[in-house]
Amino acid sequence: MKAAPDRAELFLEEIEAHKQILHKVSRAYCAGREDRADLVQEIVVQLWRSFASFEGRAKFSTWMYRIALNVAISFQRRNRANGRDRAHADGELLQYVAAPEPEPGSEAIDELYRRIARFEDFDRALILLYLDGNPHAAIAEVLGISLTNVATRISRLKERLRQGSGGEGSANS
Amino acid sequence: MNLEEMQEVWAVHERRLERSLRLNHQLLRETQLDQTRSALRRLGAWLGFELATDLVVLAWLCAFAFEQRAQLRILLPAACLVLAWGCFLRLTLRQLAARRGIDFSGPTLAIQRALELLRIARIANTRWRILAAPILWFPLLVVGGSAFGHDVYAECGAGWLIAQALFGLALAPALFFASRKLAQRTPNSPVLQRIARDVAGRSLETARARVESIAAFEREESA
Repeated sequence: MKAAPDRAELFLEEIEAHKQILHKVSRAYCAGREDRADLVQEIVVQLWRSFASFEGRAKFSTWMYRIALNVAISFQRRNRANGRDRAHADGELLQYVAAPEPEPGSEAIDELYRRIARFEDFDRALILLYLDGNPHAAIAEVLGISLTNVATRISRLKERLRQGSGGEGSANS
Repeated sequence: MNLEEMQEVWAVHERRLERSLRLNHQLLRETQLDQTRSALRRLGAWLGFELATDLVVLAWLCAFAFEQRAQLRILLPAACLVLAWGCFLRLTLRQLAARRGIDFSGPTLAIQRALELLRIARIANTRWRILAAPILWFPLLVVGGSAFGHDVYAECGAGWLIAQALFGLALAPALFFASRKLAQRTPNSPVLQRIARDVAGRSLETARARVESIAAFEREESA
């Protein structure tokens, strides 16, 4: 009989299955490679810490997105408040997720992330969740806003992008 | 690039990531994640220490004030300190209350608001403790001296004591204005800059604006 995987193994399996979220969120919120690695590390640590209380009521990806976005937004604010790139406190950079090698045609992807980075924190989270194919209900669950609000904001973002003013300012304005 | 075009590029990105992204399992296993201290945990430990200190000081001040109830000239400064430490204790409790229940797996906007409210409580704590320190200098001198068996009034003379009280009263606004100046300058020391911004109220304004922007995002508006 196969033994049940321990908590750490289970965690690793789930992270493996959803590792793309780590890459996407860190790339959407950090421009620099080193900062991205730091952010991924912070997200993984927070995921592991919260994993004990994960009861499976929400989908793992929804839960992971919530934590990743919360850590990323806080990380970005901290960097902004410091007015400089974050120093590596322990002098060690842990590369949990090896960044993919650039491939031909990746300019379009770079441009896509540049566009995403022009949006403010919460709009950026919204567009990231939308592009990742999450239904409105899942977006509402991750962000903690109503379905109507999600729909309104997405249509407003579409409009802004169509007018070519995407990114500058928030979808509020 | 409109949203539909962005979706197309995203789909390509998704496929490439699937092929090329690798997770370093070994590193994850070897890292003692549990031992990594987060800023929130450190803050929790610090707040626990601050709460214990405030409680001990307040209890001692209350006992001291009760002992000195017959001597109005000692009782009044002691009562000032009791009042001040009561306020400090309230500031610490406010931070503890704000910190409680912050769970990063909660909805993004709710957690970001909770973090911002915690920041507001922390800024208020730093600000009022620093601004109150020079004002409390005179009562501290009297109570401290008296606790060590000195009659500060008799030993130092009225002129010197009045000068100390006036110095304390003048230093608080001077500190406030100096912080406003310092907060505008290019930071040589990020820590000093942060404290200056906290005392001057600049950080408070930023944090409040952030809470307002979160509330604005949460508001449902018709398209």
